[in-house]
Amino acid sequence: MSDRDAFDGEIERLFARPPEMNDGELFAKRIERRLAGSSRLRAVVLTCAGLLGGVFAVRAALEAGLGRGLIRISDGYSNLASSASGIRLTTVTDWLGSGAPLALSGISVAVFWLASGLMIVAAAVAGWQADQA
Amino acid sequence: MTVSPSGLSRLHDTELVAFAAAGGRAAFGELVRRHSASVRGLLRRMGAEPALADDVAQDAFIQAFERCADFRGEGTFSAWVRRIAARLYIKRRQKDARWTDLDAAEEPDTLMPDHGRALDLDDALKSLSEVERVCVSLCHGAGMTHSEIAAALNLPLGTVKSHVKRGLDKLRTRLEPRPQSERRPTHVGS
Repeated sequence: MSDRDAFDGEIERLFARPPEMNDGELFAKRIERRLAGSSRLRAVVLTCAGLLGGVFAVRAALEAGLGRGLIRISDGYSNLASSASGIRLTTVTDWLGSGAPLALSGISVAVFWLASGLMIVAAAVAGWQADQA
Repeated sequence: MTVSPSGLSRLHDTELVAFAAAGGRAAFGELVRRHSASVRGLLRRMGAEPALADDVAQDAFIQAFERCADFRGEGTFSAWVRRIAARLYIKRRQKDARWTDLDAAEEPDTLMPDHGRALDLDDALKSLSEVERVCVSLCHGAGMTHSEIAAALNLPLGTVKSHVKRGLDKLRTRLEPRPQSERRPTHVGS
């Protein structure tokens, strides 16, 4: 082995020996703080995005008349079943009376909002717990 | 799975990287504790001021945390982060106008070798021009090949090779100032 090769090895050994740093712990803490900050920011952004998406989804579903559509499907299924078997099924409309479409529409809105709110809270709690892990 | 801080200190780097890849910040903190001196030291040896070196080292560790899943364990974790840091430093310095003509940078004032004491690497590196210092540090400190250095610095391969060679020759002069005959160990009884 030439002298030059031996010196190359010596240089690598010297480079591998890090200089003394007295503030290593402080430096590590700074990085941990930055990581915690960016993780919290990501959780907030994801939660907000989910919240906005949920709101738009609920609004779009209501505008499309999903509640009234469900009532029509329920009534249609009941009529079909009773004509086929002669059995009278109780529909949501029967249960709520003649004002059902309007009333159920109001209930649907409340249920949708409640479910959406609960899901968002659950997602936020899960995100927060993951952030703490 | 949660590991106590004292437990983390007993884990191998590859295990800590696996925890960090799953989002474990405490595990990554342990990796930072172990290897920050090496990363910050390399950046300072490349010529970065301490504040800039720390800034770039922080960015490198943050990037390493986000890319932990990419770490294949082919080399050491420390070498992997050092390479990330070296590339970040080059990118940052390339925005500096002075660095656009790195190859034409002036030679530093010549320090006369002190035959009375052995210089350490950090002192010896000061005798190199900026480009020599960067090339030698990237080659021997970050473990980059000459081709990788040439690509990173936008320099021809031959130029990089000659900078590394010249830089090593200067370091040899600084670190081994005594004549060859004086350096040979004497063996009793031979």
